[in-house]
Amino acid sequence: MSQAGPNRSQLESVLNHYRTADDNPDKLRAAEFLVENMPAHYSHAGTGSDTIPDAQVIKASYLIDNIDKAYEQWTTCPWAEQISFDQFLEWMLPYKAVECQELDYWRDSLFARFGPCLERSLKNDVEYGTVMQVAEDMRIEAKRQLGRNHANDSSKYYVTTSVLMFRSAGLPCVMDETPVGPRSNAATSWFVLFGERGDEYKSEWDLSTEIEWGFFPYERGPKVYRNTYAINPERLEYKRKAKYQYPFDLCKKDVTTHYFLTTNISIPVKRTVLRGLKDKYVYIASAVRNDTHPWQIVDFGKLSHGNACFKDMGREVLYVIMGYDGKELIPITEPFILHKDESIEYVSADTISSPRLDRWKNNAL
Amino acid sequence: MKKVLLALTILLSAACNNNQDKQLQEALKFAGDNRPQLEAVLEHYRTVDNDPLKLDAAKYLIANMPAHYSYRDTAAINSFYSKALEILGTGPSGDWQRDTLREIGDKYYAGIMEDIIPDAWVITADYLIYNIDHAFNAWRTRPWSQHVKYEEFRERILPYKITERQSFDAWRDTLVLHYTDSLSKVPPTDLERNTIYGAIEIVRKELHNKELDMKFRILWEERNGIPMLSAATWVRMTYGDCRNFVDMGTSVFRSLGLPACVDFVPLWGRNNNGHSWFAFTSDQGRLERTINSMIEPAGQPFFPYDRFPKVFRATYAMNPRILDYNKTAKYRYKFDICQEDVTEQYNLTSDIDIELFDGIKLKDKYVYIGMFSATAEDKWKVLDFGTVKRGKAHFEKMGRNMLYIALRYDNAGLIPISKPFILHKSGKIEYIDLDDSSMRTVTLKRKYYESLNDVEMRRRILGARIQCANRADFSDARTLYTIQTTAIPDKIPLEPSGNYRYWRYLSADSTYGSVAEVEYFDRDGNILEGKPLACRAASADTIGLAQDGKWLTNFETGQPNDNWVGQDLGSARSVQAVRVIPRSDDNDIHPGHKYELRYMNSNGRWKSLGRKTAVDNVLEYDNVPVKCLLWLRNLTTGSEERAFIYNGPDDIVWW
Repeated sequence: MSQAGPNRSQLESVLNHYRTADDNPDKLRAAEFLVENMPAHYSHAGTGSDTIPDAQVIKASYLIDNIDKAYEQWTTCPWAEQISFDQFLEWMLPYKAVECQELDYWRDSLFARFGPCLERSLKNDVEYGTVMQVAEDMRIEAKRQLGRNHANDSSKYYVTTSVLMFRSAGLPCVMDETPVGPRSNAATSWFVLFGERGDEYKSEWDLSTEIEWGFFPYERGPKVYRNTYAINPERLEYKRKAKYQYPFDLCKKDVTTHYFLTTNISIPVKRTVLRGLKDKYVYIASAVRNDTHPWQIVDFGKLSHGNACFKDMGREVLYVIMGYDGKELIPITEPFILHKDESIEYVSADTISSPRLDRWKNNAL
Repeated sequence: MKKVLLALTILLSAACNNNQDKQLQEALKFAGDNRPQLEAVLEHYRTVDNDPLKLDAAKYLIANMPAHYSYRDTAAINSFYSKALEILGTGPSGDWQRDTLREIGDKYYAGIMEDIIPDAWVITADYLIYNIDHAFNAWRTRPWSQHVKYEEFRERILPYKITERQSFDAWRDTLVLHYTDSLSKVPPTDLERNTIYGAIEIVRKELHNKELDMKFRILWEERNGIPMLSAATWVRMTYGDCRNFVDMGTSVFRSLGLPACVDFVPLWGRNNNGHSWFAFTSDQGRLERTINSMIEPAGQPFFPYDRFPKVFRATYAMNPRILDYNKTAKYRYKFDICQEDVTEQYNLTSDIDIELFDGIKLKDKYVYIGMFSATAEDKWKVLDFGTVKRGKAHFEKMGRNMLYIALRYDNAGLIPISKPFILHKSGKIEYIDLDDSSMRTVTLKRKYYESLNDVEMRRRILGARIQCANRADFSDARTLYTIQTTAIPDKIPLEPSGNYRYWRYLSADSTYGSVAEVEYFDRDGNILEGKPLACRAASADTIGLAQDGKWLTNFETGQPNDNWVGQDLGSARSVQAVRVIPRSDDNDIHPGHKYELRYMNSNGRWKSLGRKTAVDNVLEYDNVPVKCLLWLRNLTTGSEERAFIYNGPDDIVWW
């Protein structure tokens, strides 16, 4: 509210709307959720790359329109009936899927463009009205209209389009991603639908592959994050307390365990190194195939009793741990491979560019 | 605090060990005269091969052994298998082999399936040691299983059998020998081969190709006779149900140190049958599920349109919950002791508390949850037991989006004790109330729900034309009727047209000519029987299918367009009406069949609303309670029937 400044009245009128004109506790709670987490979201400010917080520009009518439509779909669409209220907040409600998305009436425009195909779906008592049927019909239609298959540079665009398109039809959908760049032809982000039996339906290649026909069964990775509207409290705490500020996005949730075997690791740091550190926060970086920037930071952890501790790390990945010495981030352990059997193998930092280690460098999935 | 926690952990694990030790002692006692064999195994892993983990594995196998059993008369079953080996792969087909062996089984081996003996009484130390050593060797040396935890190994690699009555033979060696050609051709450095996912896929493919070479067939019929449960017959198995093939294939994986398990749904959420498949945890930690025995690889949508009330995993270990039930239930319903409830890995579930009928008196603390099944004796199939808590029936981990009922079980059989209820996708419970304060008319077109495939096949009649001609090539054809809707009358009246010798059904483009029946009637309503004719694309065996009286066989060709099927009536005749039956599952109202509509009364019992022989493709009942659960039975034939709620002729919700 305080971030909103002069726009505060717009936000207040949304809350008031769901207390008076449309007295609905669920919608009020939904509005509160959007407002509470709004400080992490921003839009384009005029021209150029300047941004402005959503809280300062968003209109009451726009929020109400989004809340009403999402709520209507959640309470009436058979393919959203399995969604709990808490899930509704993330999978259906948000008025945007990515930052700097235009605050336009995308639910209407995307459904007008990709929704009419659903009127042609044949009614029956089995497939009709299920998440899979509605999503597959729309996916095929969008692929037909957009005419292109996956391409590295535009996959994110296709995935964003998919997520918004699915949400426009009341399908519960989110976007997951890896924090490391692409390796050859693999994806860096993809959509996830929540099926009626609780399955998370994925598609390997944005719009071009059938949903749930396998998802990179041989790939490994350090982390998988889910884009959320909610602010991640651990990351908020990091932002408030860390002496060094790495630009972690506040709106990500760790879902690595949905994709990989993971391990909570606790790596000893030499006492001499520990003495030089100026912060309890430490960083874990995954090796990537890039000679100038061989390490990609994927998460933060904390020092505890001389150990650097990280949660839910993907196995079969080459890592190094970094710490803040008061000036910059420096490696504080030797690089190591976290093996499939959870054993840890240290490798010498000098050999990091050796092709022998290539298979442990994980770019994307 | 930390010390307290540590002490607690030790105490708990000691309790666990105590439990296994207690079970072990009971099992050793249970073994009776065979006890020395089991003790010899334990002794072996304390002295000759001093390996604490193997010793623990041996204890695990022995402690859970009392639930497992084998054929008592091994000479008899082995002679049956010898006979099977003579017959498998010979003769015209797998069906023939099945029939022949079933006949032999019925004649010479009647009752052998029930003549069983506990494993603990007959198993030898050598056999257990062979299995334990082989399993450990595979687990410790195969590249794909190095990361597999002991707990997973114990259930998914170690057990000396995958199913009851399995022969105590050297199955691990036999299967490794038979199914590793492909694996040995992939370089050992191949990264994919060295994953569970990759290795299972390589082996599955080889296994399936060998099945194809043997012209195998999965036979869903219930009576497949005595199953093939020895290594020698497994590698030659040409027929069996999905469980037989999955058991065999999973054993192949286990023999190679690939941890795999058998999961099954005892009853689908909306039909009378169940299904089994193999599953495994990939190197990524994901539960990979397969859909069709060894035929399909992992990584496909897993029945996205089906419903799972309960899913169980076949285990070697005994389930303590069911053991406890068996000890404390006054009236014991039969539940398999060696299974684990894994419904949560397949469906959203709810723990539910169900209101019971007023004044219900129970003779036992246990209650049961059932699902409708048209073929079950009591019309309810029991899925699980629960207990009464605060006057309500409490059931755990029930799959959502299905209709259930609470039952009691005692010397009176299975009796409903609650209204039927729907556990919705959201987890909300909706009771189906009966309101018979007024009656209404219902119009029924089907007895079973309709899938997309049914709808698509039905639509193949759209655009079809009924034509008559005097020339056999239909060059002078007259169109008398064009089908414009799938809601056609049973007998389509034709405009009076005079007499013609040749009549045909000319299908629209992109329909492959599909049609189940086309019948022509004279003015007295008699069927005119002629010689079948068809377009050139029709194969000889398909030409007669549109007039064979069987609605499940269809006329169809391999080309999408320009198809027709007709009749030469021998002489010029007048046709008054034509009956067109689309390709379908034959669950539409079938004229001539006898039906009975039933509703569920306030005691949870099915009551008849009358029997009728259908004279049209719709059926009407005018005495139906305005609100109730209905069930339309076809008394003439078939078993595909589901309970439903009627909201209007075109708004029926099937459960």
